[in-house]
Amino acid sequence: MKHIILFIFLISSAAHAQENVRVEYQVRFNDQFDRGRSDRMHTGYLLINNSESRYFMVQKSAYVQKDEHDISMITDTTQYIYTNQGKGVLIAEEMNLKGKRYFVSDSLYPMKWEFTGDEKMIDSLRCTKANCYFRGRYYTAWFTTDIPLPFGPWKMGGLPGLVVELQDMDENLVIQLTSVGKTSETPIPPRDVSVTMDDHVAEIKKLINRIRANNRASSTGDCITCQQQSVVEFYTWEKFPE
Amino acid sequence: MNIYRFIILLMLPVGLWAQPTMIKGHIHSSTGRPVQGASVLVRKNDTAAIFAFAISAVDGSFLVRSVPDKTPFVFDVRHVSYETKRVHIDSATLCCMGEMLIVLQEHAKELREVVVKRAQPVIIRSDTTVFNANSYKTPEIIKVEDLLRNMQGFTVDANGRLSFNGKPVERVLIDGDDLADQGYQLITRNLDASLIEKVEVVDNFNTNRLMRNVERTNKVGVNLKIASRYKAKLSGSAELGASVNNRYLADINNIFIGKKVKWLGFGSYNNVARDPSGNVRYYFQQEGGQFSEADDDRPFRNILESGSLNIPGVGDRYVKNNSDLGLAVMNSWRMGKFTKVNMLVGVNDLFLRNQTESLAETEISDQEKWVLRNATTLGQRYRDALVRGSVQTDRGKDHVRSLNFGVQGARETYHFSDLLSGAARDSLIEKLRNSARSIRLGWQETFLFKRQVLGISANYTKGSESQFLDSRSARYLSFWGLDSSYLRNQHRFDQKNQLLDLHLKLNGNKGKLQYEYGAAIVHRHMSYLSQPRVISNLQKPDLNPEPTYDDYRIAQVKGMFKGVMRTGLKGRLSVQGEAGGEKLDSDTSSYRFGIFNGSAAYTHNFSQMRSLRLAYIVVRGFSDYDKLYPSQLLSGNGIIISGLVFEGPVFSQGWTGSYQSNNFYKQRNWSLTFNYRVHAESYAMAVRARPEISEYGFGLTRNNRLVNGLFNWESFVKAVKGKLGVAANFDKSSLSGIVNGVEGNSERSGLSAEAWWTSGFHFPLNLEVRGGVIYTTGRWNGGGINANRQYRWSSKLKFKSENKMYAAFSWNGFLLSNRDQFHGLDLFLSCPLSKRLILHVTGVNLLNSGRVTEKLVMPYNTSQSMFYLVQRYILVSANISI
Repeated sequence: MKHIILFIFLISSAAHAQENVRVEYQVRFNDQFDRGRSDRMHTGYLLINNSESRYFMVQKSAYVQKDEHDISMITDTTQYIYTNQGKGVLIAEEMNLKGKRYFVSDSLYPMKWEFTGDEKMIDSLRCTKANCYFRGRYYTAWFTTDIPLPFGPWKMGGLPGLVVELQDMDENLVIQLTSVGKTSETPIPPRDVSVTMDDHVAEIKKLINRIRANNRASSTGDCITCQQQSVVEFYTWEKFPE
Repeated sequence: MNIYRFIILLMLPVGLWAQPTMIKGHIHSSTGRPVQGASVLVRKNDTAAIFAFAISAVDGSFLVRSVPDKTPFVFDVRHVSYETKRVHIDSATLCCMGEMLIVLQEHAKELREVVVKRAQPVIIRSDTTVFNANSYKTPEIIKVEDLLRNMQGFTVDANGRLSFNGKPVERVLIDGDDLADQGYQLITRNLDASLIEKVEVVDNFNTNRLMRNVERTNKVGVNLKIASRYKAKLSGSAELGASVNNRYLADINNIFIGKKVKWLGFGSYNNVARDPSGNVRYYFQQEGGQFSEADDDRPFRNILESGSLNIPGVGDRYVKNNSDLGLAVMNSWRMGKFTKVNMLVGVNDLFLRNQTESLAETEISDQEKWVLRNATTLGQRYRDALVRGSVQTDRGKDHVRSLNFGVQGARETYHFSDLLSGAARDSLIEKLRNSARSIRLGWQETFLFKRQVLGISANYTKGSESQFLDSRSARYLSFWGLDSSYLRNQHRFDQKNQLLDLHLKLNGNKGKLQYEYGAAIVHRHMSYLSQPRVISNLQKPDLNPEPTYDDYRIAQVKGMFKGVMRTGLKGRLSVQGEAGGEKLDSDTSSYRFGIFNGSAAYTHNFSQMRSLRLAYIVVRGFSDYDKLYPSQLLSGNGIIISGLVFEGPVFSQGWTGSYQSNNFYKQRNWSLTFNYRVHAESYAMAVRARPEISEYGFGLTRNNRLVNGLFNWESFVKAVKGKLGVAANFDKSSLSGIVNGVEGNSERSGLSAEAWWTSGFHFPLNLEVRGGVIYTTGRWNGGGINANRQYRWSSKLKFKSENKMYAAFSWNGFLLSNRDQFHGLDLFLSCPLSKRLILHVTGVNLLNSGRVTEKLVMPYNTSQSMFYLVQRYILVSANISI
């Protein structure tokens, strides 16, 4: 990965870290994950205020439909994440198959990190490698103890330093830090968090089963001339057991 | 106490020791406030390796699990607002069995603000792969072709034709505009790579906008995106250089990319074996031009060159003197909202001179063998001029109209002198002049209606070609030293041809099927005039046979069908074919026969990065008429090929299988390709020599079989801190033919393998090591096997000082079968003096052995050529960009 140091300068933060930290990431996400390849570039923003953080992404390039059969639910769990380490809370914005968005409370950093002992310099930051398995995918993170903030992009964190790079094993999701600075913005917790992750997963599974049942019914009923049977496949970034 | 209780008691302390130690504690500030979110690290002594860690909770408490018991470690507590606390601990059990209390001093710690500019080297967006050019640029990359060669997935052949992931590149566009048409080498070999910001590779490329909706092609288009700082103003670069031993280089690029106008201008004048504008002649080959270069598909090449080797890499440097003047201008401008006009003008003048010495042994029979020493001088001059243009009207709806024209002229001149020393001394001096002119007009209409595309096109080409050979040979009997024989051949050969081609086709989609059908009428008229003249002191009077005329009229009517069926989500089965009738009339004969050609292919795209292709191709007829009449005169042995042989249409079949895997992200790619072809009758042999001029020549061949396999693998390997690669190529052919009037069979097999390692160290020094072997065998008509081996290697040391200097030293060599070897040192130095000015020093073939011997094994003889004029030079040049 080629990276160029543009400039580094020092700023002074207040004694009690009342000034918030703003971290920017460059995100490459393959929205055809597990099916093909179609990378989309995003900018990820991580706002940190003591024990709270908010992560969200803004897409740089538009989604490209692979063919007429491809329907993508663009908003997914990588869009908006709020964490509060003091309360042990992680809230993610989710979307159901009807396109409705809502906030879901999830467990905070449940992944178990393993250290490989590898180190590398990214820009001027000394980074350490850590691996984890999280909801069906293997991830590699490079974090730096030079910035001892236990946060990271998306749902990743809980490491003894800021996550500088994160990628899954197939490089469908690649997140790289591009800047660290201060900001006056504050992570505001979302309201109306009434759904848990278990409820959300159960709801999705219910809808999927209903669509599949409908599909089976339409292809085996009175349709004598039907030449082909539609196959409904669902791909989700976070994989939950059936 | 029973025995079991005793054993349990004995095990208890062991169990306690086996448990990983935990460290508990609280972190407070100096004011007594609990510190939340502090990182508590247990590190291995003097290293950054982390044994365990914890994050302090709201009340400042922490619990670190899995702390090594006996090993010394560093206890490290960090928080962004406090001073880091670090304690060296020898043993966890001795120090930390109780609860620890850690007090951190508040500290106005400086948070480093960091900005890192990152570039994604490659991004895949559906059918488009986008390369970030800066990620692939090195100081040694000068032209776009060098840049593309450095990008994973691209291959560039000797003629500069590109392919990506095994698919041929159809066009190279500049910011979406097609300026060069098929001859895109004119761009890739001339345009400065520094002007390029991104390279977009578009899969399923189609030049016609309307066709993109209904047809998925197996071709690729490349779009070069010019960096924004070079747009909307006249930009460019120039390189000027000279060396003390009469080498020079002047290279100019200028470019204007505006909203309505695009302009590219190239100029080059050099004698350092750069031939960037030589590709002007590529257009001749595409449009029926007769000066076709070596075509690997022609089976007879294998007969002539069986067992021969190509000197790798530095072949062009054997040229003693060469000079190249090339100028090309291409532009595109929009007229109004819907019309776009493209224009291309190119001029090229290339002069090459080469000298060799060779020793040839020719087996006349089992008992008789000729041994000849040969000294040759070859001078070649190529001059080409080209004007072509097109007008395209696209109203953005359902109709595209395109009109195009081209006018081109070319001249080649060969000077050849040869001195043979055997039982007698023979000298041969030849001059050969080829010239060609052609004019082309084309019209194309495309309509979209009801999700179908109707295409109508008409093309008319008129061309002429003139060839003149003046060959003087003399034999000196060495005993008397007198001129004992003298023969002079002069031969003029003129051709004229006209082609009218009408096409009608309909493309569409229905469910899983993509189809195309249509009809074509092709009419060709070719006429020849052949006028030989022989002057000899032995055969008086001079021989002046009457000129011969040949006149051929070929009419072809055919229907076409192409269907592509989607199978599953990732597979595609395509079948295409043409069938029709053909009538060929000449002054003396008339033929009628049916023609067909067809192919079936299955392509499975596992993903954009992995694909499998299996194909079967069958041809009956003459698919390419350019091969039917003499495409060029052979120089060097006084032979003129003329006349035609028609023994009916040819028949050939081919099977192809290829697997491509290209993972850009892991920097790994590999491919496996297999081809098998059977030419039951090969049309390339449908040319014969006129027997009154020479007995030497070719005839129609039958049952030719060619098989080849290619394997290529390259990957970034962490263990070797760089890229490793392996390539292997195997080919075997069995061809029947007539050589020197004897019918026989030529067998050839070849195996080449190469391996390389390119380091990717972080420090300034890097290495590139490459080694390979070529092994070929050839046999003519069941005779003895001629075998040849060649080993080659190169090692390159690269030094890069960030933005200050780049230096590369390359030590190249090869070892031939006869243990003769060649080696030389190349160097390249690049120093940016400012943002716009870069100084280059290029050294070629330094410290070389000065001579190369190449063993050439042909089916009917062997020869050794000594290239002893390897040139060494150091060229100093400056590159200025604006």
